[in-house]
Amino acid sequence: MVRRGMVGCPTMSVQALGRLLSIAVPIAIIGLACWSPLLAAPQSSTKPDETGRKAPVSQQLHGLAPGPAAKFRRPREVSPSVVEPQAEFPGLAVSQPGNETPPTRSAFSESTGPVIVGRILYRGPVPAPVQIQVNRDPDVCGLTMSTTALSVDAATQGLGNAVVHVELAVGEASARIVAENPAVVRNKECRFHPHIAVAQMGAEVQIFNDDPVMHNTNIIVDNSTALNVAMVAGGNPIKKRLKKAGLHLVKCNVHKFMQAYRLVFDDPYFSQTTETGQFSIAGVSPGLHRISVWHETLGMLEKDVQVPTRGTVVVDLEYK
Amino acid sequence: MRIRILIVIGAGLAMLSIASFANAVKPEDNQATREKGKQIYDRACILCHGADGKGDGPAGWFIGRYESPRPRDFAGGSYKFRSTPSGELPMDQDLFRTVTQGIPGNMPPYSGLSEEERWQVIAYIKSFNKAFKGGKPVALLLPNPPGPPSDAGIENGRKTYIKYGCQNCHGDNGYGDGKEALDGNLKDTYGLMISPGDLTERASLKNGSSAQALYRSIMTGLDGTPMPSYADTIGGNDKDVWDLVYYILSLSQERQ
Repeated sequence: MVRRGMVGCPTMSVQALGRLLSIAVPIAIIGLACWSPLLAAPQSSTKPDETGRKAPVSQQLHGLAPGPAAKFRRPREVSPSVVEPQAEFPGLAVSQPGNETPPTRSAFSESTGPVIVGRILYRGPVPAPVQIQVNRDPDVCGLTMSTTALSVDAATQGLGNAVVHVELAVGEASARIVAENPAVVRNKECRFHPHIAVAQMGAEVQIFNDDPVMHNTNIIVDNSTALNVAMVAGGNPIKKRLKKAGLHLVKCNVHKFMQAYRLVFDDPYFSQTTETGQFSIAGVSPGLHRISVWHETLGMLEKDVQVPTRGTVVVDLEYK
Repeated sequence: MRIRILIVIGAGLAMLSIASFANAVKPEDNQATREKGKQIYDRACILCHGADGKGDGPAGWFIGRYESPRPRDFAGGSYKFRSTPSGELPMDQDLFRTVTQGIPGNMPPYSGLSEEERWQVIAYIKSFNKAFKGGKPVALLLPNPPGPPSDAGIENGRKTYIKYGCQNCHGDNGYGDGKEALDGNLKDTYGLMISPGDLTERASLKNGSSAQALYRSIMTGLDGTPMPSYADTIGGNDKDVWDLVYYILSLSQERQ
């Protein structure tokens, strides 16, 4: 008995020490973590991407641009410098880039930081709308469907439905938290509305079916299914988070003529052109940035632009 | 007395070894496990799925070159057979089920591997895709089938079949000869032609032909193919789905 007690005693004390450590160590770690001044730093400072650094989305888009677009790709141009504002943007002040010392990252915001504005132009021939024969659900979809690939403003030659993206500088992290604007895909009269749209990764995608027939919304990114949901007539709308950046091809497998695109970016520096081809992107940090433009049929354009510390940079790009 | 003590000790040791064996069936996902998995992968899977898991093994040259399905791309492709929502990664158990049962007409069952070996190869397969290191996927609620099918239920299943648009691809009688299939409109995410399952032939149902497997296919969809997930749009309408399941099962003969 005595021997047993002598053996048991050190065993017990080791176990007790183990228990003590198992309680004390997590408490110490949690205490240290709570005390850490890192937690007090504003979240908007330089919060890195949740998925880590990836290839810029524009690079992904190069690989994913629709087939016909490839032949329109052009070598990128290099911007000489900041462009003078044009008459189309009279309300925008311009600052000349001087020898100012770039302020720290936190000094930039949408209100005080530089703004990139511009216009995407197309002066080439605009093909007539194509009439597609509809062979399914003509009561809802109609007998034919007209598709217009190019939306060009006759007065200004501005190209609508192009998507402009400013790439982050190497090593730069997105400065803004995810925009909460939902990306909407509405199935209506056998079309996806809108046809082209932009969104930030992490935003919510909301899918509706207004038609009295069944559709499915099949979103394909990089040859892989991002989401494929049935949209039964009268069924519930779908609400999901966008988890993949890149070019989202939206298709309905029941109605093969239904097709749309969503461009989803890791960062918030993107804009879709208006009917007159205008775009505006704020909040970009100063320095050399590459601007890329995507269009469904015309393909991609690229241009390097020097962004000043504040003021407006005007960038016009033209598909030729 | 000594014999009794020896028997008790022996029984205890036997129970301990059984318990440790049970724990070892699903090994911890660590480097050693993945290395063992690689050894199995290199002799059992590499021919189709390729050295990098991209579905581009030597056999891939003729499998899925012109027509779907291609061998699964573990690195970035969609996972067809899941119990998780559309667009999500599969659960470990989903991978285990596919490895064990195989895919009728496409992939042999690997039930010849021990359970532990199957888990090892799954650990290696998961290492091809970094997304597996992120948040763990969450399975949909997949309940057990309700009581036996009724005539009224099967009748409602037929109505649901039309309401859900199943006939567009699978055809009016479930032969896989729907208008979209006959017109050649059905393509997978690679743009390869793909045929819908023949619902009258249970062996052609790649995700399983039990009532629960059919329920799972309807609710999760088959990513990478045109088959969509119905879980969200019909959420809360379980009865119609089970009626549809029993209607589909009524189209085929159960094989003993």
